[in-house]
Amino acid sequence: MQSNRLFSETDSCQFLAFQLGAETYGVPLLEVQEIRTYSKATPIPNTPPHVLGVINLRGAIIAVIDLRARLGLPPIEDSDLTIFVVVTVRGKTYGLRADSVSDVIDVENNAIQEPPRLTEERSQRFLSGLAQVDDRVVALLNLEEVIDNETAEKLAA
Amino acid sequence: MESLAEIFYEEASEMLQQMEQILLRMETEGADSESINELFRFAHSLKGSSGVMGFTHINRFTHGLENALDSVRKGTKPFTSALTSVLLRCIDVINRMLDASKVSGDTDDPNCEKLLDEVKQTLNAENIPTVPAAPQEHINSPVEKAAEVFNNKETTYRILFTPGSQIGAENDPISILQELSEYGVILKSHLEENIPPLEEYDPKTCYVRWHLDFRTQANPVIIRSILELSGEGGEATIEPLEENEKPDQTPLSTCEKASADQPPASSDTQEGSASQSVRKISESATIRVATSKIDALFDLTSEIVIAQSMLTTTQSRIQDSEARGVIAQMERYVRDLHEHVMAIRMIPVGYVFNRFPRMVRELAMTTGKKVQLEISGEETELDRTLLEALTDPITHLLRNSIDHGIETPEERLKVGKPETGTVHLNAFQAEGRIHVEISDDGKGIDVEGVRQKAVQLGWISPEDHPSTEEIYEFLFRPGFSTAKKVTDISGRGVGMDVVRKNVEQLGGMTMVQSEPGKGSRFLIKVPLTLAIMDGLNLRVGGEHFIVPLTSVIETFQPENVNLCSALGGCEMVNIRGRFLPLIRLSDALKMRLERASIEDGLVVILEQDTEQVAIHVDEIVGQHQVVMKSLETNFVRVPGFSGACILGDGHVALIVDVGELIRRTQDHALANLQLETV
Repeated sequence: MQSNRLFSETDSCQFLAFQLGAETYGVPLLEVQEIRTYSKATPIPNTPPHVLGVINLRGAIIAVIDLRARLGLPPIEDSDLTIFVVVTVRGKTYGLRADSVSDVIDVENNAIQEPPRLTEERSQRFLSGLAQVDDRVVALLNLEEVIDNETAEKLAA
Repeated sequence: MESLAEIFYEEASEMLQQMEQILLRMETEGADSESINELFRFAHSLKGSSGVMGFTHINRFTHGLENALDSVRKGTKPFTSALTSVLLRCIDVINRMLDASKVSGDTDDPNCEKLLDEVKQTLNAENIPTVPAAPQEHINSPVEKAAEVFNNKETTYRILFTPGSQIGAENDPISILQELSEYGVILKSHLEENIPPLEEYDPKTCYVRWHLDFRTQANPVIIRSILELSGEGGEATIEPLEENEKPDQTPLSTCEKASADQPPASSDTQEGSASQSVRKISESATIRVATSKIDALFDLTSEIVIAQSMLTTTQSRIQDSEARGVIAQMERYVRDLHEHVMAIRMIPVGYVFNRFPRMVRELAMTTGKKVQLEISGEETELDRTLLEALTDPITHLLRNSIDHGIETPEERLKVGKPETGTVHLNAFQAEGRIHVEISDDGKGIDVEGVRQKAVQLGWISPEDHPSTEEIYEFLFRPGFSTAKKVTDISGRGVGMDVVRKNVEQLGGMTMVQSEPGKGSRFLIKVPLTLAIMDGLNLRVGGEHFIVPLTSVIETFQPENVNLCSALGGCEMVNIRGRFLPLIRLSDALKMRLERASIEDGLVVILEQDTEQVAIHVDEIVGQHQVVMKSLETNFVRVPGFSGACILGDGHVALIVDVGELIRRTQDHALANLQLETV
């Protein structure tokens, strides 16, 4: 939703692009706080599989989400390239585990398309748009949906 | 400007709270002139500061209050219990207006006018002619009318006004004179000055006084109150001028004569007020600091503590003995720093306890009972966040005591108790914890009633006769309420379970004792501080968990002799003749971790609210002071855990909620049982 507002205000906006396997994804740069090298997370019992656990971000305890598990990609082993993209959504800070980070990209507003219907509804809502940047296609993530606390809140109830 | 508003709100709410306390105190201890004066001063200060802030509605309302209090102060109206009630409601209205003004600026409250009328009516209804507190020489109007701000006759007064010697925000002669001019016309003013040479000049001392001719319809009592009470130590002489004596024709010499009659404030009174101001300063050797600043300081200190513990773990790897010495020194300083910062956050429980007399008074009135609240241990200090979190549980237990514990006056008299019931609220420190005790001399807990209710709820069968302690535990179960009818005070079936849950979230416990006919006693025990606790680091598989050291009863290495199993593998441990189910921590937390054989690990006995559980873990890593962090800040509350902490190596460990763990193991056992019976 926030990204939509960004589109209307400027002609182009910036996204942080990162890799999950061969696919490139992007999140609005304004929502990215930092990129962190990977460290082992402390698992939390009784949480959905995509919640890897919690890590220590300079004294703050933040939950990390495995994007592969969340978006339905097959799991892979951690490597030296594995990173956490630290984002702030609805006032809370989360880490997103990605295979590797690529770069910051400028996307013209008119280069963003509605994603076609790819799959059943569940993972469809994670995409807010598709952008053609040079020779790559970047799938823009809807962070509000990716970090959905429904399951988490259900668990707390 | 914003910070000015913050100061205003803070001061205003403090003043209102103090007014409330004074009112309640006056009700029990009787009205003394000092208390009434205090009330008047608070109303006056509120009027002034709200005027400065531009809150005209609050300003007008407090002005009305001030007038009402003034008539009480002057002894023309008595102070009654009915007046207390109305004034308390006035305080509520001001609080509401303050809250509203934070959002939408200067706002009106529809109740204002009505309440002020009510105040007046209450005053007039109780209008017994009483002797004025101090003889007022120049009151022209009859005593009954003294409360009216204005009498109809316009009179000119000659006033000599000597402001208090110390000028400050509380005592500003100019604003006092401005206030005076709201009540009439200053026809003439003459300034008499006694300003010393510059080297002796103190900018905060008032060296002047005023001779005024003042034409007004206002009662001289009002004039005097404005001049003498607005500031500190102000003095005024007020004399009516003869009708034929034209004020503007009065020769100046009369003024001078007047000043000769009234020599400048004698050295005695000046010294008096000076020593008073000195005392004030030493009393207020405190400063106001925004809590957010303290929290930030505290968070930062917590980080330093963690960083220090990381440094200490690497110490063994450092060869340089000098560096090691510095690290050791740093560790001591950090510990001291931490202790001092913690002390800043500690506040006396009195801050919260002071709210309760009002609540108890109102509850007693609505229930038709006579209740006296005794408070002790107000000076006991507790972490601010902890204290805030305890307010609701204490409120509920007090309500519970009054609603269910204390009998009606008739019932009490019948069993030979004094008509007025006593509820005692006490706080003290013991066993390294803060204890809050709520006891009453009411009818006590009806054990049989509770048992029958438990039968009704299907928790036990009619033949079951659990022990008294077990029956008391039913009180804390969700869905339990013995109140015969649902009242708005308690008895909605939520409450005691919420009390226990809230207290447990603070790492505390709740206990109850009761004696039929004599009363009940509820005890809340909480740690001194929320943020730091001593924890035992337990390892299961590759994961570390922290349990609060206060919950740990004992740990031991299991041997075959004290291990047994029944019902196809349900493990038990025999502790000095008593069997406890032995639970794998990983099972209790529903985590899939590799299981070590039982003899290789250790058994930890944990206790919460007299319930015990034996937990099997792989290893006890050690004992740490940990800084408790909420999982909710950036995620959600996770059942089974009260939070998380950062270990010396920077990794995160979850802190086990022992109360929840015990409940889970019981539910777990229950679930297994049901499965088998099906």
